[in-house]
Amino acid sequence: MKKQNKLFLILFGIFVISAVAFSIVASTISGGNAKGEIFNPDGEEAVSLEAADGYVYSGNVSGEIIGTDESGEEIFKTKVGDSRVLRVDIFGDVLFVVDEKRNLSLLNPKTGEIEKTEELPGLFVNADKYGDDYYVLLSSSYSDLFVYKYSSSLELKKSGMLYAYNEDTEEMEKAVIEVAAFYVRAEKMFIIGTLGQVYVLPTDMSSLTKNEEAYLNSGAKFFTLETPVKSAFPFDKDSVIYVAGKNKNVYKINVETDEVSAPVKTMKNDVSVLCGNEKTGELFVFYDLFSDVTVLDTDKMSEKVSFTGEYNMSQAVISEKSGSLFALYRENGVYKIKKYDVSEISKNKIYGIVKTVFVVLAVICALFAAVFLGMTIRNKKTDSEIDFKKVKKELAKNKWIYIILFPSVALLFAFCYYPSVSSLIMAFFDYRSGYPVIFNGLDNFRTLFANPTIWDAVRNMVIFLVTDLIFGVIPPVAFAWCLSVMKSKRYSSLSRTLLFIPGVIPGVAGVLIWTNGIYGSYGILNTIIKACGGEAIAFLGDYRYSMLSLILMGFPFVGAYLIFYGAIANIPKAYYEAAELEGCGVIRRIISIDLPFVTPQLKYVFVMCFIGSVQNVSRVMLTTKGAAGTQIPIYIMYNYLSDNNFGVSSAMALMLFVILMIATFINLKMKTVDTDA
Amino acid sequence: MKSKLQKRIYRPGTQIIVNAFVTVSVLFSLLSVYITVLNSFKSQYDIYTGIFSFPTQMLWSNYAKAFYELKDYLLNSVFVAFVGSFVTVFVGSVMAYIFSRKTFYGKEAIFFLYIAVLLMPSVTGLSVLYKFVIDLNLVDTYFAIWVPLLASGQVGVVFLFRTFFSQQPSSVFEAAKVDGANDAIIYLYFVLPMALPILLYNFVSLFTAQYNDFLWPAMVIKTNKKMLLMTVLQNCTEVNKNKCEGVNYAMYVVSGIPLVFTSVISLRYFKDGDFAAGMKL
Repeated sequence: MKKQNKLFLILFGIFVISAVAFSIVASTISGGNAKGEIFNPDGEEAVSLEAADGYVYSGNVSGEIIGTDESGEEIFKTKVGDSRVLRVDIFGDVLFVVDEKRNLSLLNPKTGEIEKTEELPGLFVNADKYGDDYYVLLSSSYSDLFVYKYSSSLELKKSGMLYAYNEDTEEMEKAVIEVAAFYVRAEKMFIIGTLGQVYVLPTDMSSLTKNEEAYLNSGAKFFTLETPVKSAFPFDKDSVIYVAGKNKNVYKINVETDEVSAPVKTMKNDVSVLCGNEKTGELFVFYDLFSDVTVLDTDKMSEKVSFTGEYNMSQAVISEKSGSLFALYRENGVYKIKKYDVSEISKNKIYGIVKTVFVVLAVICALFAAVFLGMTIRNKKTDSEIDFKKVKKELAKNKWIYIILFPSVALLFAFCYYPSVSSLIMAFFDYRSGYPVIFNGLDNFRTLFANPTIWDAVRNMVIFLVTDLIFGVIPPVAFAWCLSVMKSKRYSSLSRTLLFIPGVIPGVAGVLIWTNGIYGSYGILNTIIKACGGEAIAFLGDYRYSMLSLILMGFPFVGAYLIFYGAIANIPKAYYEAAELEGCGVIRRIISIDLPFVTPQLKYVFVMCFIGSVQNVSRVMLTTKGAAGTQIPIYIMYNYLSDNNFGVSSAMALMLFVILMIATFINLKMKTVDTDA
Repeated sequence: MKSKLQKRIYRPGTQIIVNAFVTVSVLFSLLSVYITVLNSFKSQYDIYTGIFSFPTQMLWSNYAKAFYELKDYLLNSVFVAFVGSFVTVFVGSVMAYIFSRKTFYGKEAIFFLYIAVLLMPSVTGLSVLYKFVIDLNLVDTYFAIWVPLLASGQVGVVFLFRTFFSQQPSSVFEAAKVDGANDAIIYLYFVLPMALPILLYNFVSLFTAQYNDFLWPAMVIKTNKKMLLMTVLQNCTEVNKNKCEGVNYAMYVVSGIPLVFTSVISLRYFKDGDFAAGMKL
């Protein structure tokens, strides 16, 4: 072997080994994600949460309050009623619990003993404690809002309905408001509504009056934040309440001065829940659409770190003692609690960076390996050596070309190659959001084949494939041939023009038209059936007809006729004349001349139909959603993807990829007639 | 003088069969369009009287309602498809020009990388692409649609352009070079005008494909205001079932309006099919 080749092979080997080594190291580094432990106390679904002083309290749907320590060990279980617990709060040394049947119970936070109960006179909205008094927001069923002030022994001290002064009408009117947050601080009640309304009312409740003068003299204040609000969290040591607006901004309300700051921070998307650790000054931001959690440092208002949590986190509390975060989230309709060790999270940032570095190194090594392999192959093929001096000169001469090409190729790699290759690898990993990514071999495939609809799906895919290929290739060719042999060229031209009209209707609309206008209960087919005295058939709902209906969608399958028409029109007339001399009949001519000349286009349409049939998801998604025995593999893949199970959906993608590759491979092997005469 | 074979084909018997086949196919193809337009003018009562019945009165208000419902989404779809296709065709044509007119080291290898993408079905990378777009913070922006479109669309453009360019006589380009034109000038004043049919074809194909796409936009666009027409079409029609289904049919028609323009362009250039004959493997 030539010296240069030997060198290249050695380099190739080195880089391959390095790439593999780096990938192994990268995959063993766990971290970059806060590993949340599931923290479900025994019993039924937990629906409200609170944590303090080393205890974690959760209320569930059967009216039980479960107190556990921070590792999940149950300390007490108290039944406060028979209905769903709406709210669990720690106020000082009392556990404040409200259930759906309007029972308010005060429990001992250490033993869970019920110390006091009271039935609330209205629907519970929110509550806070200030000084020795409980301030409870209630509403009657007419969407008004009442404030009830109770003493620490639950004696009603004062109550009143919330009014607001309307500056436009100059009248007092009932405040109709959906409350997002309620805090009592600095002798004032802050009621924050979901539309961004902020009421600041004195705790002496003098503003809870319909009397305009009294209201205006009471010192009540009202203003609106310019955005709907989802949640708020107070930081008492800074005398502020942080408010999360739906416009992705975080606002600060100064409780002493009642001033609202300009947005102190803009988050990357709609915020759902805010929660803070006053001791460390950290503010945890949860999002509507993402499972990420961003941790803000409230001193500098900068992002400290972010980690992956769960989707749909509805409540979060922090235990200041240990700094652990407890989050209530919903998965598959069931509520669960996850505990996150926040101190680990700052470490995770470093882990994340290290892991990324190793992955990048692995990729670079793999690239170099590929390059050297390519060079070795090239040398072997051309039986020459690469002259590096010449290559360098050529590269320098054309450097602008490479510079211009680079972004385009980079995009290609990032958005075409990387997803496909990565997906083929992901098929062998357990890759779901909120969980660590681990290699799980063929488990994803086992999951797929355990899916009860999988064999129906496979059968259906084959059926669709066969019918789509038949309908996609034969009718268009026949149609194109007819068009080309029609005596009246004007009629032929007219037909072709007319056929552009259906092309104006977009695919989705077309499917819907077939679903309603043709297969629907008042559609064409049923109208005809009813006219003949029959009963309406649910074409897409009845498993006997569903597949057939889907297959026949798109009749008369004119499809890609234009491609064939052009090909047929280009057949040199010389061939026809030759056939003529041989005494050919029409049919013989078709078989021996027309069809062979159309073979390249046939191959193209065949491959396109094959790929299109396997990838066609709209036909099922917009009509039956896989019901009535019409499930197909790609729709199964889409379902797993919507559940954020990237591993299993990639496994299905891998299987579909293999099938499609077989088709393309077969196609390449088929011979083509050389049409360039 | 017509040959015997031609006479045989033009024999009335064969012609009847051929013409009948064409007529029936065309009629059935137009049938769904016909019932859509017909029913779009009907009131709900008329719909109940039967799908073929003529409307008792032409309810133009159905179209008003359809427009009102769909106009935001329609504009979004047109905007996204237009910008995406335009940029992709532009970028692709520049790349194709480079590949066809220039020689440089590794040209064939790099070109192979472009073509290899055509062999890879788009379904494979869907999951990872989705996660990738989320990680890049592109979710809920139109870039989540444009960037993947550019990445994969440029391949088709480069492929078709290159075939076209390599068939052009190089004498024109060489003459221009001798006269001192640099690449930018050649591209603007020679390439673009010459390649207008191909440019249009690529633009129309990409536009139509992107306009029709409903799966990817459904996954990456979350705010209602930004959504594209195809993803919301089914929802918009659900509301009207049993209330005013005529509006649904009007909606189908309205959703096709942008495609009228693309069809008209296609008609002018490509009706005769000699272009389509170039699509082969």
